[in-house]
Amino acid sequence: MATLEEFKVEATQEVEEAKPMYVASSDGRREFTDDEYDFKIDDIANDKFWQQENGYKTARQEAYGDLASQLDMIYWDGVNSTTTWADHIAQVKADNPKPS
Amino acid sequence: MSNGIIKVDEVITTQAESEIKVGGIDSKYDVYMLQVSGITTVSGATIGLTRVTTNGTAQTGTNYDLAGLGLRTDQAYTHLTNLNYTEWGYLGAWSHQGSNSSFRGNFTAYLFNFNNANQYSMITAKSISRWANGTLAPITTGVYKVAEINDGISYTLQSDIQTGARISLYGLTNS
Repeated sequence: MATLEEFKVEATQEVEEAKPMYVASSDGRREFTDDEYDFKIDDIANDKFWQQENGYKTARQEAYGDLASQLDMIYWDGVNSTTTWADHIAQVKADNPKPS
Repeated sequence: MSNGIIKVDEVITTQAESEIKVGGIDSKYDVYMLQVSGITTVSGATIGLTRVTTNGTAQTGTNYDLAGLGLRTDQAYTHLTNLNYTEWGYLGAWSHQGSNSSFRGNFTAYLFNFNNANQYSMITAKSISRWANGTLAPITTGVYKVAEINDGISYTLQSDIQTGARISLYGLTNS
């Protein structure tokens, strides 16, 4: 598990490689100021940290599938005395573990 | 009495940009409308990041709340809930778009209270974007929780905004 500070180091490297970066407005186009580069580094680092801490939630939500499909699984599990739905949920959780 | 919408500011990208800003919000209009179209990226997971500006500078403190509903064609809707974030997300681009020019994202937003020093700035938006698995259409509302005057909008992506994006700010005239 990386810390936010470690992600900032990583993000700083990415921004250094991406320089120069530009902001466009109706006044024209100019390179980022030092503060704007710092904001960009924070953006990237915060996103990486969020993905590390919370990305499993989004991944699980995507992998669970839509509610209608899950209800269909539950229905047929009842009819056939199978555990397809519970197995599916367990597999999704196993494939996308919560960070410890 | 005059009615209509008046263009206040506009930027059209002619090359890759890391940030676009539009400004000019003042006391002339009560409500402003933001139109953003043609959003696409080079590569990578991408969420549009929208911020208010003060004196032309994007505000990056953890003062942005967002609540919304992510309508989508690939599965059931997603609740979008961000509290104390450093931006409003999900507008114009929600997920990986890549460089596919057919995947360009768009949104229209209404801006409230931006010129009011005593109230929080608020935004309501409807957005449409496309990714490999289908269509993403967030309906979002956002609050910037600082009582101050904000004069514009900053829009960034996690990768560059590509050529052909357009961001326009309109004032809705008082009648």
